[in-house]
Amino acid sequence: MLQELRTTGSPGITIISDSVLLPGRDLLLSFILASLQRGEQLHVIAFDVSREDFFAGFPGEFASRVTFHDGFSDPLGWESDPSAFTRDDFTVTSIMKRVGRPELPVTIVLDSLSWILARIPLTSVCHTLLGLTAAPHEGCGKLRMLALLHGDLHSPALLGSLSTVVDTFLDVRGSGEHLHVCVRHRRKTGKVISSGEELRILDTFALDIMMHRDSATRKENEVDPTKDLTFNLRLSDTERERKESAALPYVFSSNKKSSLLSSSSSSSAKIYYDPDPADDVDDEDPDDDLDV
Amino acid sequence: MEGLPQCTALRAGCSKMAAPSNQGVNCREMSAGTETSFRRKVRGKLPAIRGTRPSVHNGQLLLSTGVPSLDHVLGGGLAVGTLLLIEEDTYSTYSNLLLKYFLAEGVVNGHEIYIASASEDPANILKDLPAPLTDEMPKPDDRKSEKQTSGFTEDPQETMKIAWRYQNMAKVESLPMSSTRFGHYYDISKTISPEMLQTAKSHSFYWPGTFLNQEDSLLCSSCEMTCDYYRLLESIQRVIHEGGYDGSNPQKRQKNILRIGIQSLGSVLWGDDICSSEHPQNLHSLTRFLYALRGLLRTSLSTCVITVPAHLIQNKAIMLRVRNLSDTVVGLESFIGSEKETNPLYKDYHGLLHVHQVPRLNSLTCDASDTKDLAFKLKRKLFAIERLHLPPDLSDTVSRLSKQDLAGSAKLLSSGCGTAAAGEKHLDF
Repeated sequence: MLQELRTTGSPGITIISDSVLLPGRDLLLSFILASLQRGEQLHVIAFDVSREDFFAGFPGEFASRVTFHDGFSDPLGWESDPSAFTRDDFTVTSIMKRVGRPELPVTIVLDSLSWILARIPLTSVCHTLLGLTAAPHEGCGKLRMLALLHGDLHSPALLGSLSTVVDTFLDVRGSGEHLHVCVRHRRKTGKVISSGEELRILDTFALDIMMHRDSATRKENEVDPTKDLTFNLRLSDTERERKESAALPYVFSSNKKSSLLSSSSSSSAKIYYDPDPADDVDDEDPDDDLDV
Repeated sequence: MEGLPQCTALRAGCSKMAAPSNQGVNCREMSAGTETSFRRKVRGKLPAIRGTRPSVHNGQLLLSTGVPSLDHVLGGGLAVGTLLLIEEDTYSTYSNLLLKYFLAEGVVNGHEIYIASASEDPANILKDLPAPLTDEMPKPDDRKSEKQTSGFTEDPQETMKIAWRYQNMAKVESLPMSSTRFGHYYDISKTISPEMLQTAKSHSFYWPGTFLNQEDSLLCSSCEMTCDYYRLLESIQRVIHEGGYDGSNPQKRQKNILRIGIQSLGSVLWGDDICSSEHPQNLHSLTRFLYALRGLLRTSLSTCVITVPAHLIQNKAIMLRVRNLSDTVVGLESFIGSEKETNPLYKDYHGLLHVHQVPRLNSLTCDASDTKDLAFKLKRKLFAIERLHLPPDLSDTVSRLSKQDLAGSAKLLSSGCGTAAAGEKHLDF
């Protein structure tokens, strides 16, 4: 699932949520490289790291194809450097002005979204994100968005609201030496696919998926709904034997019937009927009119 | 209460439903004194509007939600002038679908449609409406074969041996009814035909779109996005008034119904912060809106369906108020991503349906379904709400031998009776 999302590129907004202990920057770089390998144009808006830090460890042949927007060195616009990216620049029009009208498909990388969320209210951030990705823009088609989010900085409520807006949510969680990533991807049709994957990021920023667990494979360890009942639904062998041997009072079993038959044939029990003189006996066969 | 239309807000408190019948009833003149003054009490004749029918319980004019089994659960349908609140499932997959069914039912019946959304362009929602299955209803035979494959035994005599009284119970799961005018089935793999869409009159309200058109787009881009549903309310009010649904501007022609669908009300995209903080700044804006909206609906020939991301609303008091302000409240709980997905108890279903509230309209009782355990499943051509039950246990461990014996003896018994009646053999008992 993750590999597929990385190579084909998921449409819309992808968010990588990490924490202090488990940084997701490597995963972000891996997705960035995959997008460059697909030949897309890439715009990085960096708030958390400087230009030097961002390109440190970045494969040289790709670094030239990244357009870097610096939001780190002058976040408040004090030096009035026109190329600097400030808080007020985070609008659809301003970002589209920087992107221009390229021929190639465009991916915008936000490093990180947490910086913006700390300064701009969630509602307008969501509108900007949707405004950038939902509708196709003039000149260039639909944009893709890739954002790093420090999940431990925000309340679960904010993360929940944000995840309703985004299309793909990658939650980086730790488990031992490998990264454990929970993937939740919503297709355009509204179908939601979720999976959990354990992976290693190689030196070339390729992903090495160690374990893959999605909802289909999870079905194997299904739970038994009759487990915690206060009564017993299953019978043991002895119980079943006893149940079958028990004679029910009002059930007409075959041996009961045969016993009745045998007794009626052998015994001398008879019904004597003494007609009452007042009886109005009708000699006619009551079923005469029927063709029996 | 500033900024709200006062008259409608006042009327919201009035509990009497907007009776579309009031104008057209009792116009029969009393003729001269030759007649007795006693008259049979005639129930108000409801206007014949396509896609509606009177309720058998309280005489309200009902319309279909687009899902016949949901209609059944809610006591026949949605009363005109009421508000159905759908609490969204986690990824709002199924709540959006229900909203689309509701709107598609309106298109099929020629009702006027109003769509409001903040996340999706209403034009896209309209285009994505499912296509109605008008010609081919699922035949009973199909259903029978379906049952066979899913392992039910066919013979009704044998299905219920001990609890035979239950055979006469009404079934909640509402298989396709024969009526074609009220409630349709839809094929979600196909979208509705453009010709059909053109015949339906529709209005839409797109939150970001309307906002950007204002001169204060600068304001919108930065921080102070005002959270007020005032514009939405104003827009609904205008549509209701211009369409003559409130009776102020009498509909000369055929009376029609306005179906209002609002998607994900209260979510972040509406500019509301109730989803992201427990102590939001605009604590009352949603409830104010609903209060005024209810007033509008009560006095007009319109019905509204709202989906709300209830699982995201942090302050539970808000959710309680929102529920109280709605007439019918239904919650969806999908199994996607939850551990119930793998539970064999739920393997036939896609989620649970919780009916939180059913309105009491002009009566002391409501037509609530008698069971609380409802589940829904989605097939290509059917969104069905059923009573949740365990699937039949078909494993070998179940003892079924005794059943065969019983069946055999029953046959013997009946044959015995038959021969006795013919008088050839001795009586069996």
